[in-house]
Amino acid sequence: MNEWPLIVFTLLLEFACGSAMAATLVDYTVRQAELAPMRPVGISVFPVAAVALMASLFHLGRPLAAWRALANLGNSRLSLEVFLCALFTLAALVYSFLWWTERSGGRPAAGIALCIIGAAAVIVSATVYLVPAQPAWNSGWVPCSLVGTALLSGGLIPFLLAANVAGSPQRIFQVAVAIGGLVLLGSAVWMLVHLAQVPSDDFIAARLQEGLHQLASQHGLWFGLHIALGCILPLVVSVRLWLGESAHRFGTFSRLLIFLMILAGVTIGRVLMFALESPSRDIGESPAGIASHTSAQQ
Amino acid sequence: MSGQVGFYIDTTRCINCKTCEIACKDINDLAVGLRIRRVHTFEDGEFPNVSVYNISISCHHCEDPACVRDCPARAYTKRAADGIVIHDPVRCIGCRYCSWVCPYGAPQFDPRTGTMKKCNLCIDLTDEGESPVCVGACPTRAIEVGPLSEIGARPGAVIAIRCLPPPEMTKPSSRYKVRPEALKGLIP
Repeated sequence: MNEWPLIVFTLLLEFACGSAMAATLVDYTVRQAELAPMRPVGISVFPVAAVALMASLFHLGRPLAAWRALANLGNSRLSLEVFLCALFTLAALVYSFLWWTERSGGRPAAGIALCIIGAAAVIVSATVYLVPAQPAWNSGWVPCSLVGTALLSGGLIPFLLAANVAGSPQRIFQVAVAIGGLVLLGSAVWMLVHLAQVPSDDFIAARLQEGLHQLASQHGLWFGLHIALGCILPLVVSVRLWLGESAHRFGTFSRLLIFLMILAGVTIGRVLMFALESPSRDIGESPAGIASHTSAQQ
Repeated sequence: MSGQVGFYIDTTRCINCKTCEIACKDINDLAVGLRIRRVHTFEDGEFPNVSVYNISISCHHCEDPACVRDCPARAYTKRAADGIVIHDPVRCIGCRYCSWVCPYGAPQFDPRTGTMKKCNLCIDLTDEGESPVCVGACPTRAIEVGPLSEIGARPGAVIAIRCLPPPEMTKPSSRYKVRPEALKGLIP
């Protein structure tokens, strides 16, 4: 698999979008004097978005010609994705600058605009993978996975910061973490159901069977880790916080460890998504039993 | 030639000698691993009802080409005169999205140039009235090129073949003559 730049790009884009949502929500609901704990989050939106955009360049054969990707905005979802991500990064630059200089005037409005652009970027980014030629991806579980990751990362930020923003909307963040975990869990189940179906076309059926076979035989352990760390752990954390346990009780190291474990779980899920399909492979390269070929590379 | 053109491939004549592959690699100066035209041998069925057939595949110059629609850099164009899908390496940024959206895997990434490579139906030759090299090289004359209206009307010409993607995805312009067991929807 050589899709690591895209894995980093999509994850960081969702992380930046989630961070922007968390910072904007706190900005709207907390008094000015108590915003200090969220300042690093607000400032970090731009660097994270910029690194995401830079990572995507490593996927290209000709990174210096990347600007040409905007040439087909009317038809190509990839063009639209690149445009929205670039716009999101520019908006993030302004937003992070406002946090950096601690100017509160206009910052909540800028945050709302940033969140709208970020949400649009994540959704369009998900549609890029909905292509009939890649049957394992061509289903709703992919958008669920991307949106769930954005929700989860946004909700986890206050937890990482010990939730010590006085009066911040803790319940909303806890719900966001729970919904993010549930959406990712639903996405994983949806993926299994999608791969297990047997459509009438033999080509599509073979590709789905191949994906299910890979998941069951080669990536079973990783899939289990994704479920445990990326889906169940956020649910457990949100339930414990909802029941009144203070995030302070986890301790700094434990909070960081839990955050990294959830991040690892989400990352494993994204790696598995890219492992299910190998878009660059040849048409006859299918070990599913229905189609096979004997041609050697020349 | 006027109107959409396409390949007509008689798979009952194909002996899997791969001469078409070699001729294509030669004229396009392809790197190791790249095969713009390739011959696949598909094995199907369960003993004792088994079948084997060879399918020579390249770009189908589809009527509704996903690469033209989805390329973010507009590196693909479909010629109005004959429907040939042409790739412009100058505009190509090497994002490989065309290889994702093409169900036949026709565009292939060349790491030497950082761009995609694809069959352009040897337009330098066909514009001069000659045949593409794969057509000329095939020792069994299994590959032909002609107007879709003509090759599509030949008896037994099909595109819905087992192990190939459903043709409604991109409406490929190639037509194949296959043995009955290779037809989509038939269980051997």
